[in-house]
Amino acid sequence: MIHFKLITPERVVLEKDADSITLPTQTGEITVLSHHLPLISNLVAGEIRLKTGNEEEVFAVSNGVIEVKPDNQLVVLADTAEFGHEVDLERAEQAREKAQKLMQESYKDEKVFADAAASLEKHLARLKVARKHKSRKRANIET
Amino acid sequence: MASSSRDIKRRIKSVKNIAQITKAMELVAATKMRKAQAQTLSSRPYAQLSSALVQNLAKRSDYLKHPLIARILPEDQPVPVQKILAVIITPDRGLAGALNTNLINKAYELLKSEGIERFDVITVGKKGANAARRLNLNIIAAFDSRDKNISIQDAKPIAEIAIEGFVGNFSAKGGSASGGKYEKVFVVYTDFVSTLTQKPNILQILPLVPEKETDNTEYLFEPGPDEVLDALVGKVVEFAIFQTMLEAVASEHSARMVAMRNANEAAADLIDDLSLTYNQARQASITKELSEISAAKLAMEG
Repeated sequence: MIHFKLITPERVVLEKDADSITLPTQTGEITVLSHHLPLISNLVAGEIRLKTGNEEEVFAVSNGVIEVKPDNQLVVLADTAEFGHEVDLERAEQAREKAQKLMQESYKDEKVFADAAASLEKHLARLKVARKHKSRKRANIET
Repeated sequence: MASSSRDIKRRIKSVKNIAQITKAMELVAATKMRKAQAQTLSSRPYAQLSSALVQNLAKRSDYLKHPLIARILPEDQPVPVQKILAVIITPDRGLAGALNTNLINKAYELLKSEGIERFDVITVGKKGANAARRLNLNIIAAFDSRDKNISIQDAKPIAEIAIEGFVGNFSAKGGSASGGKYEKVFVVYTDFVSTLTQKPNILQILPLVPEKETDNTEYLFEPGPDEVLDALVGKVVEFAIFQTMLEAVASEHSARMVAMRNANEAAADLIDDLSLTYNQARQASITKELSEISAAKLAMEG
């Protein structure tokens, strides 16, 4: 068991024990199990999957830092974090389109382009998580 | 007599009106206070963890090269301080007890101790801007205070000015940190302790000061300590400013609520006092009339 903490500037999003946690980092996706080496790495926009027994929780995060502490603790400091059910699909889609448009228009300005690219990444991750959440919900109703 | 009791009545009425207003303000401040306090408290864990992380990283990575930390480290040969930037975070409005006065005094203390002519200031909130103008400070930017729904976006422009002024050109990553205009950046704000206590506080946000305590856990860094530090440091500065803004707002509303509650209680006392005087005056005039009537009656019979 690892004690998992997800914190954004606005709130403590989640704090619970989990068996395994999969996170997107700058060098690729990693999965943290218990007794992991102490590790500090950059978090990039994507989804975090949290497994406890047979249950899996998914949420979308954007940039941040992760810290695996020596005593089986994992702290994630993210700029934003949302659960699948918190994402408003329509608005996320709109935000994604806006970011994409901005990216195409702003290729000359390096900084605006980088910001737009980052926000596109973020909204893509949100959409992915939201869709996953939706499809899973439907599957539950059918069974 | 009649005229004085009418005066008293009028005063009671006006005090009652004032009490109504302060009561309304108290309720408004209480609602805002609850929100602001919740927001402040829920962002504190991030503040603690991120600053702990930077401390931790600073010890391990090649921090001497990092433009935001570099300058404090050669302790034996301190860099001469030339220009200082102070960010003064105040509310837009008064009626918050001694909050503003205390804050401005604290800021003035800092300005005086470091040499007032060396300061450039950024003000957030109208009260701070007014005070800075009175003191003839060099204001390089003035922001309005947000009293609700503060987001990290509100702290961004301030952080940008601060970082840019400090390192000159931030993109000169890893280069020498000689281009900066400012040697230090301070934030003066009111720290929220509890609803009843708020403490004016000075926080040095740049350069970041690594603590001395040693924690010797071996960490693995991906991709490397420098990269992680680069990603984190700008964010930490931004977040520190954001946090101070939250603290300031929570303090403002708490102080205002307490001040308004006091005003309310004072108004109630005043109304009690005045009603007593009014009743005494009324009774006195009745007694006087009665004695006049009976005196007149006695005179006529005699």
